[in-house]
Amino acid sequence: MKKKPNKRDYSPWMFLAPYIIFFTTFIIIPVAAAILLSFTYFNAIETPSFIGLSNYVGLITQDEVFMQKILPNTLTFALIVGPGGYILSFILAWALAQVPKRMRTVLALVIYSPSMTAGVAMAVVWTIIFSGDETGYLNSLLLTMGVLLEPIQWLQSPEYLMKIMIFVTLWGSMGVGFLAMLSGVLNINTEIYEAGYIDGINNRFQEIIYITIPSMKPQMLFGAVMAVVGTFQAGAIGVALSGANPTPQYAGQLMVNHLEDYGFIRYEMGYAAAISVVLLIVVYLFSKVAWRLFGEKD
Amino acid sequence: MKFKRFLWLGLALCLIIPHPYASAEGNSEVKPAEQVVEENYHTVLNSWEKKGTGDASKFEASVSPSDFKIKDKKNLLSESESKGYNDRVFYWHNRDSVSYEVNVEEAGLYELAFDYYPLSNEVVPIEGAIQVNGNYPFYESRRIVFPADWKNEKNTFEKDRFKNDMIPKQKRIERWNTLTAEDASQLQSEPLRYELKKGRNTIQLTNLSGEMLLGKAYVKSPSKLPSYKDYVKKHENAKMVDELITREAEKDYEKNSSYIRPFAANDSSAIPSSPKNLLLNTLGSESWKDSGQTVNWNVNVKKAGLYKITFKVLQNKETGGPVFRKLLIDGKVPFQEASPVTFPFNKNWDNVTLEDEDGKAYLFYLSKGSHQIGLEADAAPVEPVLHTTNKVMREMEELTLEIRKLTGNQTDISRGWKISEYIPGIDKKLAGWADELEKELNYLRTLDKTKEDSKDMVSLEMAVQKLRALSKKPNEIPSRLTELSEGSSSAAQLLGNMLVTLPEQPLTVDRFYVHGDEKEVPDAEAGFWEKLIDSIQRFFLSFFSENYSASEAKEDTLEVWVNRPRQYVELLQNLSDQNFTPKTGIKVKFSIMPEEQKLILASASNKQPDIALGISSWLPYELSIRGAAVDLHQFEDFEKFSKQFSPGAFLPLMIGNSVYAMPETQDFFVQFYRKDILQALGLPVPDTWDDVKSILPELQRFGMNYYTHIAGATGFKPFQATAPFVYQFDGDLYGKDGMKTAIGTEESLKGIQFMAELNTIYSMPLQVPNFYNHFRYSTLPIGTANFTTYTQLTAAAPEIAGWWDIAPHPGVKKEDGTVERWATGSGQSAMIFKGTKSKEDSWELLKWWLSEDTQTEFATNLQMLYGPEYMWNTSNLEAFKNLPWPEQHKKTILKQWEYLYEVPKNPGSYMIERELSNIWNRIVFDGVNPRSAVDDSVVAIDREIKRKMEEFGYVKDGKMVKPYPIPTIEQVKSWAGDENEKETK
Repeated sequence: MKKKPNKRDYSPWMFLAPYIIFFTTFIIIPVAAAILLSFTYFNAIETPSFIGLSNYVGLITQDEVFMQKILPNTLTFALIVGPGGYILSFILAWALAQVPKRMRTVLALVIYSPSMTAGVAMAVVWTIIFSGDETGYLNSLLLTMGVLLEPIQWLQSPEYLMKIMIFVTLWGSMGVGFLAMLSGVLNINTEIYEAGYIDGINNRFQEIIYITIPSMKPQMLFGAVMAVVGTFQAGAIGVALSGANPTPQYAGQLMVNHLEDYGFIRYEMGYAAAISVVLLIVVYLFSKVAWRLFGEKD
Repeated sequence: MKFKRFLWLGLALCLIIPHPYASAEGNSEVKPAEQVVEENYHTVLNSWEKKGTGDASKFEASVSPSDFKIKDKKNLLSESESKGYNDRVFYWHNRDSVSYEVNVEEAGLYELAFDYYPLSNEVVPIEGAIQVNGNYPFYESRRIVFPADWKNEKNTFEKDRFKNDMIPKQKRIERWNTLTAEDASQLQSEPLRYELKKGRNTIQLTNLSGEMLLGKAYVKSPSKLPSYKDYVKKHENAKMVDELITREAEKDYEKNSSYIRPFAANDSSAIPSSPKNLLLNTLGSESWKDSGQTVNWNVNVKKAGLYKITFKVLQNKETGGPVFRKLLIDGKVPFQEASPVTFPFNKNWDNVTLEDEDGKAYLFYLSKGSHQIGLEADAAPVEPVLHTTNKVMREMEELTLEIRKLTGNQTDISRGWKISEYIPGIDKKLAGWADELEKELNYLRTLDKTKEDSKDMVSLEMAVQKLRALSKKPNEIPSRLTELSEGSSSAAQLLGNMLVTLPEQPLTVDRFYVHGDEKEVPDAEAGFWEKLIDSIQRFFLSFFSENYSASEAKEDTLEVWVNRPRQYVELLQNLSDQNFTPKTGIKVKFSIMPEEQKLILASASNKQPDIALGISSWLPYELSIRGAAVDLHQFEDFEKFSKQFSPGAFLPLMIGNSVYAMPETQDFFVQFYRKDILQALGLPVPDTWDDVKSILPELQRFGMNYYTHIAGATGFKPFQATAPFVYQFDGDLYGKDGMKTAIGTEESLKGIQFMAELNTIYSMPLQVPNFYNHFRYSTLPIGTANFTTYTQLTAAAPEIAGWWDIAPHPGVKKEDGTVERWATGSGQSAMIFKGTKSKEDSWELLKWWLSEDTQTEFATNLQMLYGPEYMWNTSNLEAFKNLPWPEQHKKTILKQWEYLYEVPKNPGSYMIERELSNIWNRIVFDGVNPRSAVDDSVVAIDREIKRKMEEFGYVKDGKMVKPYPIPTIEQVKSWAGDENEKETK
């Protein structure tokens, strides 16, 4: 009953197969295709033709809007929403861990639910709140309170659009990262805290810095990566709020909108692919930073 | 009283459509017309009662057409032309009028009746007006409808290619009918009565629309229906018959409205039913909800005797209220109690046996032979409620305007008003309304046999409460107008919504039984297991259904993707199978296109269809410049064919002299205005932008404003909103050779500056998410909007029906006195793909589809089958003239279409569109000087155009290789001219 020793055992592959198949079809092939396309001119209909690095050169040297508006917008948006949302997630998770169980479950659901509904769907609600005529909720409230004399164009005016985008995204950013952190905080062994107090911790702040955060590094990392990816990929919100791509004076234009602009309005798929590759690189770099901060060094 | 006069004036003016006054054309001012102040029938009836004018005693007289007083004797046709009427008849058409005289022995109330034979074969209703002794006795007499009867062409349902039933074609039944003059909205339970004096009376019948042959005219004393008691007594000797006649409602019937149609109920309780296919198994539903719509089923009775009648119905009216139907046997209501019978609300299928209040079934006598059993939708029971509500709403509007005139554009909540000093008795007025409405509410409750209040009753109750609350604190009314008459939860809006839903009488009938006592009627609902099995089957079969989904067509069949809902595609397939394929031998398969972006992917993978219909007008350009479309200009007869369309509509579909798509539907931007408000404020209808500017201060003084498309667009302002200003001021978007933009020229700049000034200086609204609602609430009583608003206002704004009108888009007056009204009108378009199997065949199909005949037939059929709200705004101008729309509106729209200017395209035109939007944004929000805002944009646009021109080979290494001529209207117009030249050669 002895097996031949040189017969290879395929069973691990069987178990890996589902993952490999899906990962290849949905991640590797599209990414590879995007990278290949980024070296071509492709107008969505005719066959792509190879043009080397022109798209990238164009993006960096010719694309005024990209340099003047898109990059600053994306960075502002990402730097506020990313870390902001991340810190907010942690604070909320930590605060929630302090309340009794039943209440915690309810509150966690309440805080988590905005991120479950798709941002675009929620934008419908927000457009009504920020609607620019007297009947918009916010305008109507401020008008009746006497704060305003005439309605503010929240979603048309370049002055407000970005701020509202940030606000709405923060509101919906308590997603999976938040849940992971909540479970992280809850899973910390209480004996460690007791030990800490014996060793001389004397307030809750020190407790967080020296015990809570170090003990939940994996969850912190997960949250950070999710935040980075999420914020750079967010783009639908500005367009959904202002009603069309591009946003007024490119005020709420993010990288993803710029990509869609080139891909589906100007039909320059090659160029759009180049933008997406740049986006990929940026996301990768920022997650590297997150790894640096929270990764296990072993 | 003065306001009331205006009210009737307005109402009369617009309801009677071909009234000479309703034209706003040419004259920019609404001049006060002569006053038309008839009371409505309800009020007149009450006053007769008070005066003691009663029905005349038994009398009947008839006048034959030979005795009519007729201007043109030609129209008196001989007996041989009378379509089987054994007398001479009068050809009644084209606003002709006839009059005749009758002698009555007794003063009193009479009914008027006419024999008639409908002639016009379209959906245009045949309408007339009746004058007695030179006057209209009441408002309803201004519009009398002569209904035509319809039936299905065939009584079996044909199947489409998926084995689903198709709605059969409709056919007018040609025969002589008799009509006793009735209220056109069918809210009165009995025919209209006319007061005749003793002796000689002259009655005049004037044609408003449609054509018919007119036979004898009758004058008779009002007939009374017998009571059920008398009815039973009359048939004392007849016996109850032990039979069960089952009739499916969806087959073999006649109806007086073409769009009462069969439906496919996906429900195992409906008979017949199939989990796999859509079988048309029920009749009515939403298509049978207007009062007066009648269906008569043919029934063959084998044994004479007394029968019960049971209808298997689904009465799930959205509001949860009861629905009323008159029962007709051979076209007549047999006894009083059957007019009407009530169908209570029930979420499930229900067998409703016609019975009296104690639950005893009515017995109907039917002799041997064929009979017609019919139901007529009847909203008469709720008429008193509608009457009161209408009255209260009008008074409410009047009061609001009065308050607004007093307070002006005042939103400051902390300012107090002593309103009762300015408008004494305002609190009593409101309380009075509340009392009146409450009385109606209680009356409504007696009509409903179910325990729960319907939505209509709840609205009424809420309105009453709001009015009561306001009447207690009258001084707060100015700051609480949102509760009275403005906004979505105001009392007026609640009442307005109720006015829409209350008179609706939808009922779905699956089948009915004519039966005796012995035989049981089958259960209305299917059993539990049956339902369960059915739904499981449906679930699994749903994976395999392919309803007009796009799939590969056979070699010899043209494949057409249509970007429209199922009803349209079904009808299209039907029409082409009947009219196109037999004539040309070209087979065509129509499929529903889920999304038009799919066309780009399909072209990329070479799986494109032959033809695409219903696509946005920007898409053909993008496809054609990338070489995926067929140039239609190459076909010899193209130029001739193109003459039927507005020249401006071709511009975005062209590159150079090539045309890559045909306009299919066409939008229009016209000026909508509220007649009542403008008249109350004494404002003229503006014709130019200067006129608009001059009425703005007055409007804004009352917190109202003017709406433009700028406010309708969201953050991004498309060409529809911005380009008209540039063109109206004689500017242009493109410079010479199409390589640069021309928005920097003096003229364009003037237009752009004016566009921004409307917002910065003249304070027009910056954003209005829903003009239709603001228009109804009269906060924006005037503005420019398009076809969508037109449909909404026609179909879903009954509370202001007849109170609004349209006028051409305001424009800029030129030196020679003409007004430049250029506006866009992008509809949908139709194109042929390069990968088509046969260019010629595809072109044949396009020509057939866009021809005047097909477009007219399609538009008519659509409304015939699905109801008047299915309006089709065809781009074929000749076909548009034939549409069953109000003539006056068509005229205005056609006039506006002379100024149709769709923005032509070049490869970078999206940049112009977006920069125009940005320029507006910078001027309005950042306060940038228009000149510098435009200059910045010109640089950005020119760069992008150059880049794009390089992409498509018009520019190489920074130098122009070939010019890109921007298409012009003159160029399109010259096609016809070229053709003429050719002919002369």
